[in-house]
Amino acid sequence: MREDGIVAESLVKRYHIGGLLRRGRRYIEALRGVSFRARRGEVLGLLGPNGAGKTTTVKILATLLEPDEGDAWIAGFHVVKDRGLVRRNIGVMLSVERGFYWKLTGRENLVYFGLLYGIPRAKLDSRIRELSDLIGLEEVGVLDKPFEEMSLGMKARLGLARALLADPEVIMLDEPSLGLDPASARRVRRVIRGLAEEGKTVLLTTHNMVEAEEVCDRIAFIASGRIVAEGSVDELKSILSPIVSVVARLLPPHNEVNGLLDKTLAGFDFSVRERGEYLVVRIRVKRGEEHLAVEKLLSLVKDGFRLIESRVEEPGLEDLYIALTRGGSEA
Amino acid sequence: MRPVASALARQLAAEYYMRFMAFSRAKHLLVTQIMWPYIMVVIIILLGEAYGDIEVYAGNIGVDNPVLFLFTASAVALSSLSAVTYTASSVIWARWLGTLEYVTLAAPSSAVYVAAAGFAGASLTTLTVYASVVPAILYFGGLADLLVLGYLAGLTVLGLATLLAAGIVAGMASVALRLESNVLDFIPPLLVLLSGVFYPVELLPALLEAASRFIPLYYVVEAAKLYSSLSTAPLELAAPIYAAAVLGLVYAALAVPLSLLLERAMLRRGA
Ligand SMILES: Nc1ncnc2c1ncn2[C@@H]1O[C@H](COP(=O)(O)OP(=O)(O)O)[C@@H](O)[C@H]1O
Ligand SMILES: [Mg+2]
Repeated sequence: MREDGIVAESLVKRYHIGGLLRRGRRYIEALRGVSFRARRGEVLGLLGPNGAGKTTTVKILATLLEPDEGDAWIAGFHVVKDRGLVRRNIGVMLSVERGFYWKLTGRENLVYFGLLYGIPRAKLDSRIRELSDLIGLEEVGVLDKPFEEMSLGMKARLGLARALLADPEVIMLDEPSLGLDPASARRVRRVIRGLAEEGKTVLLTTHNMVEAEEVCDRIAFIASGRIVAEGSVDELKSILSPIVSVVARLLPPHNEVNGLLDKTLAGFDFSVRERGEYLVVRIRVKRGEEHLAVEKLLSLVKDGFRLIESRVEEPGLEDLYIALTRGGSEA
Repeated sequence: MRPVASALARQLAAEYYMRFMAFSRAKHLLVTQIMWPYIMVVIIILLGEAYGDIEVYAGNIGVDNPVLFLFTASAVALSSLSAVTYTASSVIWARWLGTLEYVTLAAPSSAVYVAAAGFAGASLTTLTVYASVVPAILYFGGLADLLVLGYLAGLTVLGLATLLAAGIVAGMASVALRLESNVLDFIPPLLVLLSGVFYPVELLPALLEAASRFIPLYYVVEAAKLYSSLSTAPLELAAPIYAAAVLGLVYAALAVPLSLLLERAMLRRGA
């Protein structure tokens, strides 16, 4: 358990709707048995569509909400039984847009939360400087601008700084790059990668596939309150999609070539498209059998083709996501 | 107990810092706070003149120097009301701003947060309200009255601490039960009514008069009356304040289990 920053086991959460007096009659089952782990030094992405249960999961792990069933541990501490210890080991960002005093500047807001954490004032100032360098707070003017005048990108940087203020072991970020400008989004991702390299555990939720693929070591897909798949990006792709494409751009010799292509690639599932003077050939093969297609392509070179470029194309994470969440919502 | 005390201290430091910074950026708030007691006294005197002689009012309420009493009573009333409203609304405000979750993560309990945020807000208001009536007290009274006012201010802060319990329960209940801030708006007028700040509670129906004895604020107002009618010795003035403090302790004792209960409700419902 020690090497696991986050362990979630069969978490169930029901939101009762209607007034206090009519409790228990009607409820929304937001989580229906969510389990996953995130190791130290790892960025785990909780990826899923709106309403899948991402925020609910983060709130339970952050001790802000009690699960109805199941258990979870943060850095070895139980989220219900050791609530105080969990709180001392986590840094959280729940929403980019809210959570700060509007009239106070970025620096003043950080001082406020630093004082709450009991960080002495002198140490607090140097910690804020450190975080400013790391996240680029000063660079974009976050420190001396009132919160109400900040752009979304500035707010996100400030929120990340607060999450890191007390130097926690486990960092949880709920949709950290929602609506950010590209520069801020890149900076946030870079900081997240850096945290993992320092040995911290990072959980981030997103419905942005590109972000998940770029920043996460592993991904847990969540849909309708259930984890429908979990693994590294490559693992997920190989489990869920055994077919890859070998794509090559060829410059054909001057003589007639169509017959030659058909003969050489006979037995493969392939397609050919003309792109100006080039031909783009796409050959679909089983994962692990890419070399068979490449050998055929090389044999074409002997016949007078020039191989301009070739690559293996993975199915997009997006394709997986659509397949998985479609499956999930039917459950 | 130790961790709770240290959390309370941290929270107070942070709250004072935040309010000081916010105030320094919005100086007009300070001006309105200074104006408040004067506006209230003018309104009451004008109303009094409309319905009869100020001397009659003085007789009714049982004080020698009605203007002096009104200023003192305004200071007591405004600062005490702010204790309850600041405390009760701090948690709603924090939820509205979205700071509640982050504050909760840094502090061990939301009850501690509510108490500290309320006390910081209320004590700063007390300071400005009392400071703002100083010129009026000097003009209508004298230096000796100012000393008693200072003494009363100290007692009010003590009284505030006792009012916090009520504010904590009201604020946390409003969040746990998902009430909105306007539900709390009925509290201040009710407190004004039951405290006897501007007219004697003896004029109220018997049931409400009896209820006033359960409001710590009532005793603080009693002290203010004693002061302006008799130039009473500080020791005698203390008696009603002790009554308020005892009542406050009782409320605090009730507030602790209740706020723990409400905190659990918040955790389950995700307030
Ligand atoms: N406080 C709440 N009361 C009632 N239902 C809620 C509450 N919070 C979330 N839900 C519902 O629970 C489900 C999961 O929500 P959430 O965890 O916010 O999903 P996500 O963050 O993935 O968009 C949704 O159906 C949502 O409507
Ligand atoms: Mg969400």
